[in-house]
Amino acid sequence: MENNHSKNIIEKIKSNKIEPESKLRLNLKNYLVWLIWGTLMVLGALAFSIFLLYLSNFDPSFIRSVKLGRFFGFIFSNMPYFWLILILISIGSGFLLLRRTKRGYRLSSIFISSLVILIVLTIGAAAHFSKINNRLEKGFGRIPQYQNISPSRESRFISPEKGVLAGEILTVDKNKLEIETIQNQKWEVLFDEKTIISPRTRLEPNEKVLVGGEKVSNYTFRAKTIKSPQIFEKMESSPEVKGKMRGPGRPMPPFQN
Amino acid sequence: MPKSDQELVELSKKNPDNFSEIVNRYWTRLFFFIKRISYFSNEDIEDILQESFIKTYKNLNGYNSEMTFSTWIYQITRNTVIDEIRKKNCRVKTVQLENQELAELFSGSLDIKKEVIAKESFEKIKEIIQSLPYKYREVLILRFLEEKSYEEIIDIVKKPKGTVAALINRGRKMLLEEAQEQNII
Repeated sequence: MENNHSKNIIEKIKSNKIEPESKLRLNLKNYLVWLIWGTLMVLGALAFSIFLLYLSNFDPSFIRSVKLGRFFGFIFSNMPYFWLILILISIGSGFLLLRRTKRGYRLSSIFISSLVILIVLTIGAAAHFSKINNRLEKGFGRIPQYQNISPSRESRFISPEKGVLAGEILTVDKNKLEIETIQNQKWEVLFDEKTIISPRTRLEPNEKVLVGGEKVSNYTFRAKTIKSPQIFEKMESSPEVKGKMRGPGRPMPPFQN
Repeated sequence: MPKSDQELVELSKKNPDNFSEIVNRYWTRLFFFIKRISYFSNEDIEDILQESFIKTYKNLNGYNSEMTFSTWIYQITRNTVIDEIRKKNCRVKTVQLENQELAELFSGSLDIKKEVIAKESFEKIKEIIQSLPYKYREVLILRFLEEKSYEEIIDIVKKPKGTVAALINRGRKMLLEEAQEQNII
């Protein structure tokens, strides 16, 4: 009886010219799954590094200058959702794809999710510390459509209603600055001796500044803190400067015209 | 001296005639495995088996010693059965188990002696096993009728160890609760 079955099967194999498929062809799907998985991990990690870049823009002195309610509003309205969604998609798809690898079914859900998250966070942090994210965001910034998906870091700081403003100094007066934002809006920024100005911030034309405070009226802003975004970036790379810069800052010396 | 599965696989790659030895070795075992986990008629099972063996032959180069050949061919057969069930768009309802198999499955699952089970209880036992969701019934059959180890079941059903252990435990618990409710034990 069994011999009959085997005879039928062998006959079918021979008559249909069925042959064992090559190892490469059989493993192609598995290789493809691994390739997509690797790409997703790198994508997720880069998205995470850009997310870290966003987080690193906040520092205690700046947060102090914005009211708590406004601060959270600012955080949520300026969250880089595009990158956040990309991180979540990478982690989710990474999890599902790892399950679909040849022996992926043997791994527990907790192990797979921990592994995927760990890979994204580790490579993402490495990309952040090696400043790949900076170059990447600058590169993306050149794409006009990118501004619609994820506003640049500069434009994220133009939110006068929420107490933050950033731009380039056009003119400097005794108790006020005129700055131009990235969207070419001109703002008058009022300051006095109570205004905290971070060390090394130069209030001179063509300098970029980051201002925390409140909107007084249309295109008029009262500053509580003023700092230089460039110095802020340098500060991150220098631990000695970092310690000094994280302090409350110094009071504004009388401005000399 | 009979050749090992591994040797037969290598020989079959060179000459399909050698594959007949594999078919002869596994035909009966797999026939009853399909019968136990499905509702198909004997003719349908033969067709499914033929398809499974041809799939196995096509995939011979994909077999490696990470698992035993027996586990691998069970995995292919089980996938073919699942595909067939999906194709026919039917849920497995009728259990095609003989009294002897019912007793083995029931006693093995509940860790009791077969002799304790009264003959008149077989109908009730069949109903209980039939009422078990497919995913539980399948792993219990693999464990207590096919006598597969946990590691083998993991590879056959392609589920993680924790899930397989949970399915077996939950299935056993459901059987026990139902058996107690119907005063079988």
